[in-house]
Amino acid sequence: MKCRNARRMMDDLLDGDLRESQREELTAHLTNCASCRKELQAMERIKALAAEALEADPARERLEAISASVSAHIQAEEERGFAFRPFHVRASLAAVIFVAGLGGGVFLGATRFPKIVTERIEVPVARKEVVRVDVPVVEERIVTRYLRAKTGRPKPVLEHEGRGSAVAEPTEGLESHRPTGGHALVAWEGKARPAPQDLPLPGSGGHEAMVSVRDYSGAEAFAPRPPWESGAAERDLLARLPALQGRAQPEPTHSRTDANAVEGQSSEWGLPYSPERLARLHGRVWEGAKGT
Amino acid sequence: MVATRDGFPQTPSKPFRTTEGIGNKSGDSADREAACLNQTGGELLDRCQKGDRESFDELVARHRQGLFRAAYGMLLNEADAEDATQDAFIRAYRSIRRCDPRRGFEGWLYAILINRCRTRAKAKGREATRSDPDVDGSSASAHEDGPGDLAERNEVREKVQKAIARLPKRQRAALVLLELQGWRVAEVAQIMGCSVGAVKAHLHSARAHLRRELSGILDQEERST
Repeated sequence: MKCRNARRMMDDLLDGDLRESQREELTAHLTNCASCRKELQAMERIKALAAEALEADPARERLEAISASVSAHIQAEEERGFAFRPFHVRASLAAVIFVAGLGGGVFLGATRFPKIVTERIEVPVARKEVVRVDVPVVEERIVTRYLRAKTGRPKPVLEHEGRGSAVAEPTEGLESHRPTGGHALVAWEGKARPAPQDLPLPGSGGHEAMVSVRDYSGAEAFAPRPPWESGAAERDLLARLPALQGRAQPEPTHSRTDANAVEGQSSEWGLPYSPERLARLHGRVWEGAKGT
Repeated sequence: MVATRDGFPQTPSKPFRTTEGIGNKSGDSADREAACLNQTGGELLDRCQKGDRESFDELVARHRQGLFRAAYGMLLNEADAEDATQDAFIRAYRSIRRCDPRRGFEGWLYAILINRCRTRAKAKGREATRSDPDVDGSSASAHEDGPGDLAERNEVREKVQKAIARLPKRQRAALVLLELQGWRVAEVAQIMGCSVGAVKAHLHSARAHLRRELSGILDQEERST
């Protein structure tokens, strides 16, 4: 055997990984080769020196301190909660969250919501006077729906199907919507549609308000619906939608309670609810709804 | 080191695998050891995986000395070794359910320890200070020789430690696990997550490095004999 092979076997020997047959071969070689014998002795000495240098004899107090520290640390983390919950509990929670998120995403992705046409209308209002607007409503129904897209949790929305004037609400809040008349379906959020006499007082200066019109043409009316909804109201509404869209737009009316107000006429303060303006606004909203 | 009949060195026995380290825990209380003796490591692991904290405390008691020694071999600093040992136990507890009993708790624990030691060494920037390793020498053993011999032994020990500290971390880990802990090459490979050939290469390189670094000591010993 060559010395090179013997050195390789010596490595295996030092690793404790030399087979019995190789051991005999190596023994035979070492008997005749002084150089390899010396090398093996040197490597054994190195091994002994390394073992001695790496040896540590920790004091009992140090070992006890390790136990105590580990125990205290684990205790503290367990009291803190989630990190130390059993793995299957954490895995279950993570799986539930993941599936819920995935399911929600698929549900929302599959749902065709009605388009919401939003138009920003500038509404110049009177300075001080009380303005009341009559909104003739031919038909009104309240359907509880659940807006899931925005908030992620069911949120009741009242829908109003009506015919009447389309005006923006001259208040500082942009969230409440006034019904537009005619053939569009108008939605606003809140407990109930405000009665005309309960309209907020206009402030001074110009305001902007939002008018949202839901266009149900081509929408699947929030399908799939939550199981707690029967859907009968929506189906009925959709069934009658073509007929509603074919109807003529009613003439909007308005009234004012201020002393100087004249029915059907613009006031001297530039009230926004003149019949012409109402008609114009109404037309804009309706055009916007039809255009989508 | 135990010598066989034909004069070859034999790999030291595996105190941590055969007796769960009980024989090495000279300082532990007798009642705790008696309790340990009544349960196998597998039983303890099983109970621990079901959420039994006391079983984990038992496992800590069984393995803390072995782990500390391995950590010291890796870091050559007692304070660091203590921190790494604690850290390894804490991380082991966190993921105890992921330990496969069929593959053994101890190897899994040592794998965690090796990783913790690497991270700790990295954090302390040992790589940058390899030329002047941080060896505390606090574990220098006192022998019953005279003061001159003791000083000489400690000097040799310090030189060897510095030579070992200059080894790359993987070589050092392989050396510690094989020479100090008595794992077999295949087991070292499993702990380190590499092949048997890679472990052998690490060991060969480590020995060649030490052979070069410590040639002076060997020559001196040869002359003195």
